Amino acid sequence: MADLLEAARDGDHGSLAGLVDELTPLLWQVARAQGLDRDTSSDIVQTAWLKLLGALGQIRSPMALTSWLVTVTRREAWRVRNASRMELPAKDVLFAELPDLGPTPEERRVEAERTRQLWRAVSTLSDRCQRLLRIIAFTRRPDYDTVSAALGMPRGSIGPTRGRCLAKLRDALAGDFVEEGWS
Amino acid sequence: MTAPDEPLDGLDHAILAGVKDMWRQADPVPADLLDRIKFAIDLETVDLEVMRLTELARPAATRGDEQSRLITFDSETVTIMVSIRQNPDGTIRVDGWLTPAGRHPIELRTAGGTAATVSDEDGRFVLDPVCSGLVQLIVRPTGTTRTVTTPSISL
Repeated sequence: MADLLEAARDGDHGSLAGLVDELTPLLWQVARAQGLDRDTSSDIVQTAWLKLLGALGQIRSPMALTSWLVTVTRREAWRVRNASRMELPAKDVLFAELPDLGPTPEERRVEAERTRQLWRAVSTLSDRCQRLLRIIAFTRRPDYDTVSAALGMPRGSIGPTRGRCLAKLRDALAGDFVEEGWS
Repeated sequence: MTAPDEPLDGLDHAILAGVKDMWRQADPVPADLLDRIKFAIDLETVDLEVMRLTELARPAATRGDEQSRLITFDSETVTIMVSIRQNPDGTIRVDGWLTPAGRHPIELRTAGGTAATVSDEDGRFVLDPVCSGLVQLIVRPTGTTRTVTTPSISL
């Protein structure tokens, strides 16, 4: 990502497009974890990238780039939510229903069942844990600056909260599933 | 069991990988979003002001099958309202009204090229015909080096 960033700063559009591929999935989760609908989230993520064009020259590292984009995405999400007086979504809106996993051929049956079990387990967690794990799952390594920017959570509380949320999720997944499920 | 703030173990990593897959399936990035972003940011400019789409109205069809959309874009210095309607031949007509009013160069970027016009003293402008697909409106306000752009939208 460092090479892509350097080339993008020098005006290489292909490299900038490479960064879009790399980082948009995380920004999407940031917007959606704020409870915005899919159209609004699309606009916000696009706005963050457009705003980056004016700031790209000052951004020196992939970590700084990620934090910058995540911060702008979250700020835009807050702005939209305040402007439209949307309330924080109730838990059942944020985490509405079991995803439609579609028809499951035999070879995919086990995988689909695991996803269902994981979905059920995640849905027992608090909103705070759901949001945190959702963002952490899309960051490359423990990047507390990015997670802090994505959720507006103090940096120092992320490690302990992550530990507690993962422990709860492991409890909720307890049983045969954990032992035989993941490798 | 993971203690708070301790390094993640193998099972934690596996669970987080599962959480990532789960969200990717349940709430995927819209199929066209990456293309919309890449189209929009393909600009040569540093002094860029980004407009936000603040209002989108779809009034019920007025006459026959005529469909129109009203969209408002806002930024710190400029507001643009556009009405988008389909011509009988399937092309699209864009009527815009820009404030603060005045004669400003306006471009409409499309996949097939860029159409240019200038708003009149009241800030009104027309782009007709426009092909359907991804488009982006760009204003270069007279007397500044600034470029004001909307996000890309699909017509």
